[in-house]
Amino acid sequence: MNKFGIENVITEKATVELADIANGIKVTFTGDIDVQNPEPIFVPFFEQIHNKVIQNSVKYVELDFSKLTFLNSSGIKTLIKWITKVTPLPADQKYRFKIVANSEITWQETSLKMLAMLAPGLIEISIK
Amino acid sequence: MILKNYQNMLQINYKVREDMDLFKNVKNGFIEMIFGPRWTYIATVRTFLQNFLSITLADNKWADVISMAASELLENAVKYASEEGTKIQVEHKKEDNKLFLHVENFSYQDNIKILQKEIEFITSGDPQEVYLKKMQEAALRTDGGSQLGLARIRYESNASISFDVEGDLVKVTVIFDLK
Repeated sequence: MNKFGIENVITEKATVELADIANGIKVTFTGDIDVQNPEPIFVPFFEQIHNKVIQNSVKYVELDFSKLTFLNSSGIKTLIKWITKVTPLPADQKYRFKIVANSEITWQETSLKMLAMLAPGLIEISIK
Repeated sequence: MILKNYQNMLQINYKVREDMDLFKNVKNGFIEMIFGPRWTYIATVRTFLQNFLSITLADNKWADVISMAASELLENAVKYASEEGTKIQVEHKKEDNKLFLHVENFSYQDNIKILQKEIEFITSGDPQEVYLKKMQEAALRTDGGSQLGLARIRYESNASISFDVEGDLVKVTVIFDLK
């Protein structure tokens, strides 16, 4: 279990795991996220992480998509909702994201780069 | 043409467009699948297209992009269908090096008007700017939909998107320039 006590999300085709790392937290996405309405699954999970990150003054969140083979546009929306919660925060509460993408999975380079444009200066992209 | 009151079944044809007979010197590859719109078929169709096109086109990147686009269009077809019956066609025109992806389904007039407006907006500007605008709008949506699929397809593939309506039958066409 991670230091926030947040349970991982496990669906039929995907898992999203939260882990502690030295400088913050890491969220690892695996499988396919292609359910019809992912919001009830992922939005509360991301909100829990967001709230705990602020409460604990964590400044770094790594989002590792390198094992996520598919993400539908409804799934992208849940990430957009999370990321756009950070931009209006006061400076002392803001935290940074690092997005880890896999160059062999075509949609990752294009779609994940666009997420960085939603929060200029807050998101770094690393393509492996 | 897809038929109304289609039973919940999957039909797959892989054929030469001109007719169902196989002949020598095939120029255009053609796949057609018809099924009752069910969410559970979408991943199956996406995986099939990805695997098939990666061999046919000898290019994994295009196979990924086209199968993603098919998946997004089929999601829309399932969400907004008024009747059973969804048809997907993939046609590879080798001489032009273009691939045509068509998805047809029956829909309500209100949904058809929304789709028409959406396609007009998405095809009206720079693909990246339009996608970013749609992402900003999606952040504020509370209705469960994302309205990102078509903008995503255009941004990720630079494909052209159009649609035709015949009564309550809607056909969305995406043309990928594979050059």
